[in-house]
Amino acid sequence: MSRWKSSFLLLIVTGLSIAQTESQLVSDDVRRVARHISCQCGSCSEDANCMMSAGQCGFCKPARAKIWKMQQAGLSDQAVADAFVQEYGAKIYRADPNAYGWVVPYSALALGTLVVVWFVRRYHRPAQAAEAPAQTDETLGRYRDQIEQDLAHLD
Amino acid sequence: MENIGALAVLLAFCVAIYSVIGSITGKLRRNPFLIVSAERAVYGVWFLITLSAAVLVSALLTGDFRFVYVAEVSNRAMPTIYKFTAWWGGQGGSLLLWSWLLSTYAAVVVFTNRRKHRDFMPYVVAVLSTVQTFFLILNTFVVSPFEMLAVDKAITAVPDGNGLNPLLQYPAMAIHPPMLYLGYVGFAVPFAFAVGSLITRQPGDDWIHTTRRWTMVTWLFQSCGIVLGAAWAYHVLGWGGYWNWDAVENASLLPWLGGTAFLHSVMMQEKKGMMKVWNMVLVSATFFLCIFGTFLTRSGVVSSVHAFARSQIGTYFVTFLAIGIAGTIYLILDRLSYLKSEAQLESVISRESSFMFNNLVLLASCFAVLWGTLFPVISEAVSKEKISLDAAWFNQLMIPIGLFLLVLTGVGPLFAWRRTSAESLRRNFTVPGISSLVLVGALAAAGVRNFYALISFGFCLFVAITIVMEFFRGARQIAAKNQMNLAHAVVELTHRNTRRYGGYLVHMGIVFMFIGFTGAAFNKSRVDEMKPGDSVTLGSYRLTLKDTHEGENDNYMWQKAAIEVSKNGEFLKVMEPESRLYKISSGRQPTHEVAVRTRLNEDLYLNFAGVNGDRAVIQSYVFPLVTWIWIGALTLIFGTLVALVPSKVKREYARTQVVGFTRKHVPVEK
Amino acid sequence: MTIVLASLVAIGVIAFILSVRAKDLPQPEPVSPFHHLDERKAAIYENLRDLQFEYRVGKLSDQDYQQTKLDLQRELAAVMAEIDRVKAEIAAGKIPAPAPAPELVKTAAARAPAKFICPSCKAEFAQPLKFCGECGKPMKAAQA
Repeated sequence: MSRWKSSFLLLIVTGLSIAQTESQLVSDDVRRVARHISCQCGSCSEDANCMMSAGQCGFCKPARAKIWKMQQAGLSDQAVADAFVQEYGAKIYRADPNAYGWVVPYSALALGTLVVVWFVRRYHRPAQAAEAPAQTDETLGRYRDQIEQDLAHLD
Repeated sequence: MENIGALAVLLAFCVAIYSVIGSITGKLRRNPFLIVSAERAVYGVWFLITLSAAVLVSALLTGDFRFVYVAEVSNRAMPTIYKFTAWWGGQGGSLLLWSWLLSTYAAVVVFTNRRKHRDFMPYVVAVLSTVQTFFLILNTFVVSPFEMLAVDKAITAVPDGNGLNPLLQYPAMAIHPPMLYLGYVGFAVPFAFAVGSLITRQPGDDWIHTTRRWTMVTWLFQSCGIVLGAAWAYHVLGWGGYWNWDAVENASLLPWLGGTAFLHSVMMQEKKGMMKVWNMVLVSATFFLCIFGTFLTRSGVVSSVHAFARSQIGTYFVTFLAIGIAGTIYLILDRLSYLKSEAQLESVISRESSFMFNNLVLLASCFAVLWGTLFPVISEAVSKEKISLDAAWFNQLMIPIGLFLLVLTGVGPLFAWRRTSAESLRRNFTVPGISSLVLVGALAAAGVRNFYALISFGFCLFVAITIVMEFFRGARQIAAKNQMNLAHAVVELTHRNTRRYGGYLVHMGIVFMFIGFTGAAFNKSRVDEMKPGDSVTLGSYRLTLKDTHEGENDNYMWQKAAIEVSKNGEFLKVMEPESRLYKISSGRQPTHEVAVRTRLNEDLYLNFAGVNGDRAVIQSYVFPLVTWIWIGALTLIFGTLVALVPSKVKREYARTQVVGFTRKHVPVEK
Repeated sequence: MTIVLASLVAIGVIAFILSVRAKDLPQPEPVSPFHHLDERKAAIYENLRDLQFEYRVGKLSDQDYQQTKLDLQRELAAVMAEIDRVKAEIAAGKIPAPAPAPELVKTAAARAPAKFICPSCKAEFAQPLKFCGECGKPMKAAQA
């Protein structure tokens, strides 16, 4: 029943030749729906990320007009999308990204933090505990005069 | 002529292969003649590619429409400058430009190092020539720009070409691709030096010292390229944004983030001899991200506004990347023992740790951008489900990471090398910390409710104050000691360590840019259909359409809307956004020349989107603070240039003397 | 016409690449065996200088300054000890005294056996040197 209803509505809105402008077609309302519809123009259908919301091809522009008209007719976003799915099949619908989209980068960040912490702990050695401080101090003693002399020139 | 162009590229391909084999054989067999001959081959490649590029450019300029490439990207009516820039307006020409830039870089490297680094230069030459060979394969066999139009084996010409994509007929866009390519290609040089040094197990950090300026210049080109792209999007695409997280924009950002991480982490190696493995990994990653960026841009694997080009070159790129990455990983793993760190961390709270976090967050943001760019592809491959990512999604993902990076910019330099006691922290954090808290409080009291905007402004002030304090405290010290005024002391201070203070200026540029980004939280816009005489109000502006008029020239037809702008009742100016229709260029889609009134606090941005009957469709936007992005970019460029100036040598360090090497004092510039 | 041009280009390029004569071989800049140690030393001096400056402008507490300064001096001493060790080994002949890249010595020596005379002080050397080992003046002219 609902299938019939939406086809009917579709008929009505395509029949109506309301003059719409490109500006209205790229309005936020239209874009909100259009980004869930993938372009079917053929030259970009293999692309994973077609810019339906701003594209200029033979599919995108009329499709946006259709969306706009349906919105004018009072259809909800979901209903508009359903109408497109009705007409072109499920492959036209683009879902919202799932949680992996942000979970993966932020887990990577968390993992990276762990690695840095591990690295810092591994290479951290307080100066007092450096091995054989006596020996280094002895070496230092040997060269202290020269160093002091050089340092005196430092600005 | 076309035969000479094609032949030159083919010959360049052979010569590049000779250069790879010659330098490696020469090195292994200890034959200096072969090594020098292989270096000459690099000059030879440059000459041959220059020759073929000259053929292509002259065909473009003279309008030789027998060339498929010329017919695709040029037409008679185009101004000469765009006939020239059509060189990189299409696939074949762009890749030829890539090759040409790489060969130019390689020739400069070989020339400047002809007497230096003799032990690992053959490997540097081999690496550069290998990359060159790969691109010449594309130039010669895959997307040759020297294909001719033919009917029944007879070469013919078409009367006129399709013309350059109208969106590309814009000054910023004319130099944006070469800038970006200069940045992409340039990272081949530090990478080649790193590999050369790794193969021959050089002691010390010579490869870093030698390529330091290269890296900075390359990074500068990349930054310029990215900003020019943003400026182009802002002024040409007409949707009023400067960054859409488009796949091609992301492709340029990836190596930039990698390169930024590299520029920071080499300091660890220079100062303390740490992170050697990491620097190798970073420089390789950055280089491969450059190749990957070219791949994204050129193969159209992920479609976007920019993906004008689509062809079969993807497989070649993937193969090259796979082999290159595998080889590099093997090399680094094989030489791990030689890359041992020389130093330890004295304290957890130190500049060293802050550098590590800086690297972590830069890399994480790089990964996040990469992930977001590929996510639609991955998702479709895994779940067969198409998804839609838009700029809003990217913003949500990237804003927290970006803010984290921003605050690290300010916090990092406050930590001292090796150790930082609570007392030192208190000295450095009090003033900026309290000031930014006060600012956030004041803004919140003034009615700013956007959470990210508050945080961002607070961080911006924090970082700005730390930078100003850094200059002020240093200059005060110098001024007191040398009896000079403060302004002079600031110059003196900067000159003493251009790298550090240039770096601070770059940080300041980043702060300005973040101020501009934050302004986007307060954008206002509206779309109206207006008849002459109609008025609309946007913010404090009142816009009245006076009339529309039109005209044409050889290249395109145009239509302008004259809009009278007043603010708070006071007349400001008449702005004329323009809509163009290019006559021949493909698609016949209108392009827009927006009118922008730029002020430090906000831009008024008008786009003449089209006409509907007798009404003009006007999109009007107010973009607060957007100018600060461009100011920030200029500051960043200035800062990088400062960092490129050699530091004033304050002291010469005594060199160890050996018979035969009696250069007693060598100026050491750090 | 095209064929002639093309052949000229090809022959020219190939001839340029293949005709490397002995005198085209670059004279490498001498590399001291202490090069990387000297770099290290310079880096530590530079760190010390920075440290002192940051302390003077008030970014560091006394305690941090003293501790880090001591660390840096220790590292400096270690590098100096290493330099002395290498020097001693060269003196004892354990590692050969530095010379320009061996392959170049061979070819250069084949052309002009044995004598390299300093134009300034007339000292003689068995190897080609960039600078005289006695008086330190450039010796390039003597080799040509």
